[in-house]
Amino acid sequence: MELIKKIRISFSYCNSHYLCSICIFINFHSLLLFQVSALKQCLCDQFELHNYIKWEQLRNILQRYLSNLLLYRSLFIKFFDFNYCCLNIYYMQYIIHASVQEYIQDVLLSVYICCLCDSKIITFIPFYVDGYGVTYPMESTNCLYNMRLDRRSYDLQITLCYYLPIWVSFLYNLTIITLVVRRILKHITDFKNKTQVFGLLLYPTILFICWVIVILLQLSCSLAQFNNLTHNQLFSNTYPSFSVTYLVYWMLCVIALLRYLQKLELMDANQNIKMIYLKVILRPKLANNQLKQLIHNNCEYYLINNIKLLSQYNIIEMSSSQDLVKCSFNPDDMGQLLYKENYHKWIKVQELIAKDPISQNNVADYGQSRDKLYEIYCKKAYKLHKLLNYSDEMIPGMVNSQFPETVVTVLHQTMFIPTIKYLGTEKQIEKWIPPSLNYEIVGCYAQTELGHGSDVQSLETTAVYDKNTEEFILNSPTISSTKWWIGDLGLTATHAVTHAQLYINGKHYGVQTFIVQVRDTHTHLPLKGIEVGDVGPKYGYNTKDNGYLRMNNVRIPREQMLMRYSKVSKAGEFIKAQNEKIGYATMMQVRTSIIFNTYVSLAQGLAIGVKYSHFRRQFKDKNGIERPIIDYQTQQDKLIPLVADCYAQGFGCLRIKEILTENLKRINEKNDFSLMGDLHALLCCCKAIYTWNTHFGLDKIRQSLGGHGFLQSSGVVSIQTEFSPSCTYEGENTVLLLQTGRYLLKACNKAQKNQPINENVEYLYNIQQTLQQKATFTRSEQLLCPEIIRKLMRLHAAFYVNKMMLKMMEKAGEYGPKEAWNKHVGVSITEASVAHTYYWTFKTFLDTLIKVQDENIRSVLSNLCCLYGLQRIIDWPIGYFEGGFLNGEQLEIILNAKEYIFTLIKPDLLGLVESFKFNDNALRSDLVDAKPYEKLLQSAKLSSVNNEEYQTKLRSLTKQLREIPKL
Amino acid sequence: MHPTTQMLENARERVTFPIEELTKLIYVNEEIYETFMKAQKIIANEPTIRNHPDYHNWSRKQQIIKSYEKLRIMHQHFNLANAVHWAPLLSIFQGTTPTAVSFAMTVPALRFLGTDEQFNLWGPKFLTMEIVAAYAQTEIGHGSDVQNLETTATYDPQSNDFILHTPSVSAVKFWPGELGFLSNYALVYAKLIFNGKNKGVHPFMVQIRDNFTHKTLKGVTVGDIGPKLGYSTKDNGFLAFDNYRIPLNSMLARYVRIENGQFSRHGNEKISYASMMVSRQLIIFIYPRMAAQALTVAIRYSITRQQFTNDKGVENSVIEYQTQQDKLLPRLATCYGMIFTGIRIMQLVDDNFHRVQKKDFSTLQQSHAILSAIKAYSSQWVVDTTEWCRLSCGGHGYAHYSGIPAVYFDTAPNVTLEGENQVMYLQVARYLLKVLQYAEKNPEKVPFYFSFVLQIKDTLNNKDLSNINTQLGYLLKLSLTIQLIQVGKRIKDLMNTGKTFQQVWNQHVGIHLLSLAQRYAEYFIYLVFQEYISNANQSVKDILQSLCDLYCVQTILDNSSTLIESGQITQEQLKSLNELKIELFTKIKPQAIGLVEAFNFNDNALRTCIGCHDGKPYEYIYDWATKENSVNKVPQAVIDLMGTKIKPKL
Repeated sequence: MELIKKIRISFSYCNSHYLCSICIFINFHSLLLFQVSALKQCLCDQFELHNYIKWEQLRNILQRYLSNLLLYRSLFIKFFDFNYCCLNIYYMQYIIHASVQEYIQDVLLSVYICCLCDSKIITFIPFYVDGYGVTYPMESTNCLYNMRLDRRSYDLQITLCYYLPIWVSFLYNLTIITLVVRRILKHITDFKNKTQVFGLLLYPTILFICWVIVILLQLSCSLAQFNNLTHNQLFSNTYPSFSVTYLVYWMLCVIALLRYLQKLELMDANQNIKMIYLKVILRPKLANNQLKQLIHNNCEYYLINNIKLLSQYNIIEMSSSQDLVKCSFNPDDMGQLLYKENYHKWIKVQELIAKDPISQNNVADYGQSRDKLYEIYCKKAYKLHKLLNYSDEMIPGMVNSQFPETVVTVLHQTMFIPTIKYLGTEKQIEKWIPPSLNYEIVGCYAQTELGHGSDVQSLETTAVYDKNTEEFILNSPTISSTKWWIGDLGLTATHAVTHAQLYINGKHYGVQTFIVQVRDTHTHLPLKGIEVGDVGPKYGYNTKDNGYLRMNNVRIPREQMLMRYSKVSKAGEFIKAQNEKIGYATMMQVRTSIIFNTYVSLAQGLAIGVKYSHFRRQFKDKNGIERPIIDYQTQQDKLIPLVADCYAQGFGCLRIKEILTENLKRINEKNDFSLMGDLHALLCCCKAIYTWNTHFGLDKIRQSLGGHGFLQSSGVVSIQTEFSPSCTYEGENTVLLLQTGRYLLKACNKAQKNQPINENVEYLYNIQQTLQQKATFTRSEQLLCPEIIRKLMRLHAAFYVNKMMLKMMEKAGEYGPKEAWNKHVGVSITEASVAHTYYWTFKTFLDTLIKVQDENIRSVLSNLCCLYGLQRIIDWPIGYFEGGFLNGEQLEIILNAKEYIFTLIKPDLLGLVESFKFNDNALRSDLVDAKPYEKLLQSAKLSSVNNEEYQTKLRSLTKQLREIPKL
Repeated sequence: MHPTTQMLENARERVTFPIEELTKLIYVNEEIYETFMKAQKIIANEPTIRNHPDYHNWSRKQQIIKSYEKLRIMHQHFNLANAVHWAPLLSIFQGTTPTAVSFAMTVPALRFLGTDEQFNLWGPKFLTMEIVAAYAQTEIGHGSDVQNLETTATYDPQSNDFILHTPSVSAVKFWPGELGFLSNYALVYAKLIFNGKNKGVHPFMVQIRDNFTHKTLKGVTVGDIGPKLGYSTKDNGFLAFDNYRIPLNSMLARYVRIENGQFSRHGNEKISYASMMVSRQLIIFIYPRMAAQALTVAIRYSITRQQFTNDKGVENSVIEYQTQQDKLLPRLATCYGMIFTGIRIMQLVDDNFHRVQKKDFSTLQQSHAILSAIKAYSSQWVVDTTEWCRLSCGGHGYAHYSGIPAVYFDTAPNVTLEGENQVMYLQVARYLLKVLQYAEKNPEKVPFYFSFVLQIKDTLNNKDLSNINTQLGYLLKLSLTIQLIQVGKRIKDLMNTGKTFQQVWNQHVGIHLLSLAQRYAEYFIYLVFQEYISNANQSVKDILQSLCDLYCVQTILDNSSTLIESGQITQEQLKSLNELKIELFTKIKPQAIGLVEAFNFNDNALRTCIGCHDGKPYEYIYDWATKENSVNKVPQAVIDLMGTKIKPKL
């Protein structure tokens, strides 16, 4: 039975990838044309949408879409590398020789053909026909012969480059097919089920038939053309180079075949390493022996590196040990991809924290009262400042995820200092930053009030300018104007960046930012006129002293208004900022770090969840062996989609950081605010969607760990409670989605007028035509191509934005715009923002993965990317259906594809969470220990309520209970 | 009058149905209503145990001491022998009821699995608190999978007693509530080894602490397992035995017996399910009421909280925003369904008990299936709803003074305790497939609440969905039917490819089985909802029907993929469902305050500052933060930190 299974696997493997790629590869022309048409289809899409783009820009588009070709390569995952270089050659040729008219001809033609065909195999034939039948005169489509040839050289070239290769390749294919059939026949006795044999033979048969058709067509065409064509073209110097390329290909091909056969034999000899070898053979860089070794090592990376750990886990003897061996990529490389230039810093910071006795995590801290905890974390904050360089902007973000509670003074680093840096003048920066870094003062960011959170314009605190003393007088006029929720303010801060409505001579100038000292820097007592304290215990965040602040005629000097943009002169003149949005600059920074945190928190949860699911075993199978719970589909369904989400959010965050840096650069260097709006919309919706996703994801992970997940010592609990405020702070999620909605609505209007809009919302151009499209896939394997999913999600986003716009137009007529916005269209607006976010995230994921060089990593990322998209569709299919993009059967295909992707990802799961690069201290979980049960018990015994003194007290209480009179 | 109080009063005036009629429905009968009200009153009036936000500033140690105080007062006022009598306390306290496990799990187990002599020996002592006994089943290594427990009880024929032993770390009992320090006995589930043979897992009543000193006995290791997500006062514990001898009488012997050195089985073991049923039924009955508390807070706060101005320059109540309604109203509608279902299930389980005691097992399986489905569905729903209520209150929801986080912490464990939800669902799915077979072979065996399997043909052929808004229940049934047929077919197909049933079940259809069981739970709630509507007083029929409709619409829209996939529903129909939902929002929104206040929670039970009866959210929280928040003394540590003037490394 086992043997059958293995053979089947190996054959389905070579069926789908190896054979396929060899055939295509030998079929050089068809391959090329296939790729070309693919390229053209992309271009064509672009065309419809951007018909306003000038012809000169075509070249740029081509350039951009060439990168998409990589994607098509991922269709044939185990592809040979040289097809890439041949494409490059082709591309160069094309750019040099093709004129625009020819180009359009090609586009139309190939689109027509693309529509005809959908499935992988059949695809090659029409393209073949395309290449040899329809446009044979080689003028337009076939750029290889885009030069003028004379008759003789033409004949020579035709013979050498066309017919010879084709015939040889035909024979070659025949050989391959025969060999495969022979192998199948050799093992045919092993197959008891007839359908299996039939299935195995089906593929070679189809291939064979296809080839016969192709060859016949080819033959007839070529005969006809030989007779009819006249040639007076000149020879071009590119011709010889192509012949050479050809010859090289042939040789390589033969080598590949020989190796393949050799390995097939080897496989029989050693069943255990069969899969590994199969993978090795299929690697593109096969020709080089050294590379081969490298790939081999990669395959076994997990085994070699973790063999000790695994044997402790008892995992090594169990069935899934094969899974571990199969981890197909090097987690270190993946880690580099996730953290980019901060990779080493990330590891180093964790090491430093774990090594230090004060900063490292300790089980005994759980369950302490809040004041005690606060003390512990003050000490940690102090120690961390000694250990790490806090003037590095990356450090606070990295540090905060390492502890079960927040470290005191986080807001000082992430809000107070950056606000001054971005909104302060040079002089102010010089004055305030050094003492802040020195801890002579500790700051906080006082914006939210009791009555108003998201709605900044309605804040009630006032700052009145007094010309005589050159001071501002700050007041909290009502109870609801009390500053509330301000992190680090309750017990710690000495200063607060405070937002207040500015009045000069009774005139109102909007919300401005001030530095207010709230406590004495020596005695730490509140200053005169200031009432300050902690708001109370919360869901989590026990050490965070969220505070309140009331000011009664507090006077501060004029220099303490942050005046980089808006200014107040001595005489009381107000100079308005050029761009009011500048105040949001710090908010943006913080939202970006929240988005980073959605990734880190989810990753931590997953690292615990996935590792423990491989360890924990429940229910016996038929051999009487208990199975690790990760083998159960229901458990996979809880964890694997979240892994995909986690990567999506990670890459999304990297992209946002890039845009943020770009934005700040533009503002600082050129005073250019053009990116601000786009970035703001993006931050809003990503913050909302990612925080929700991580929040509910962590809850799911915790539940997937069964009872033990509920323990503090599982680690997940503190990650969850620490994370949960993210959904409401720094902009309540729903409000943020409404803001993105507003942006989308604006973009939609612009698009209708054909004005330029950001590339993220390009789908809004020609939205009505776009919405006519439909998904055409018919088999679940097609959904392994992210491009198909991307298009679907693009339609989905367009659909919801369109729906929102129509609804808004309808209701605005009825109720007036503001009323309609608030009371009647809210749900549609959030839907549009959500759909947009999903599409953007998916697209970013895709853009990231096609740039990855390492084949192994790219293929696993491609699967994750697809899963991310599919899960979104499955969770929320209504729009796809309502818009008519999908039908019921296709939805079912999607469900099947998801289950199939699970099987592809499962072997790499441990590797995928390993790539997050957390050390044990950062995960603070007993469940990832080498011996989780022992560790759980040990932590339990350390629990503070188990000490003898306390127990004695409880015993006496229990005794008293027994003595009270009962009803 | 304070403006926010005025706003609430205005909202109350707009309620058009008689609230007390709903209150009657919610609390079943006078007795239950009175107990609930009495419990609320007692706790509110007892200064030492009143709910107070500062409670959450304390360390676990302090909170536990407080819970002893609660237990003392509880014992003075309530009859703990009757679950109905003390169950309300579960939903009103901060923290959990300290002896809930002992009474809701161990006592029933003792009654159903022990002989009458055994019950008479131990039972009365529970009432006087002479015995508090934990229910020690779960081990570190095994939870849901009872048959694979590792603790052994070896019968020693020489001395005619058992030797309890914990052979490995994974066999240590872990998680049983009240084991940490309260109990002196434990009902231990262990594998019985008789003459070297494994005779299956059986319960043993074991003394673990001394009756007078309350010290741990020799051969026993016991303690608390440490802090958790919530449940901070519950002493979930661990327990290990080192060749610990217990007398022969320890084994609960109604169904298995060792007499004269012979092992024998008696009667039907199915009955042992019955003891689990009590606690599950309590979970279903009580906890949706805690979600109702969260909803009360969220809806009152949404009325008083104002954000963003409208066209007239006046700030809107956030309840006016469609997005806010979308978060709260469908959950409010479902809440009523859950409450009714909880009551109906209580009746079903009672009925089943009576039958079982007369050795009639005909309703056992279906009760078990319904109970499992609803336990899983409702416990998850309660957690999600509480969470959304919290999120709907913005930042203030996050603070303990809103009252909502405490509800979340006290309900979150229900998802995994008493049968992990997923395992529950799988059992339901198994039963549904069985019922499907009944429908083909002997339709008379199909129980009432599963009769949809007899109408499969009708359901599938009824293509008339012209007026979809009146056929919401039908859509739920349709969705369930299709799912059931598809799963059945999928299993058959996969088994035809040579896989074993077990393989298929574990590795290939898990996701589908879960969704099947969920569809059933949804449909069951709908059925009960309809029953209630048809029996209800005319004056509330209308509002209940709207709630039921909203429940159905939301459920259908949330899980529309089955209907879409099978092509049973068109684009226009989906659209009209969406419109219906919005229509229902406008209908229910003005009634929302009445709907939550029908529960009659007082402010103390809601443990809230932002959702009080008279509004004034900001005043209340400001008062409490400035006057009663105990952390507001400046700790020395800050001053230490500030004085140090750290030089950063550059």
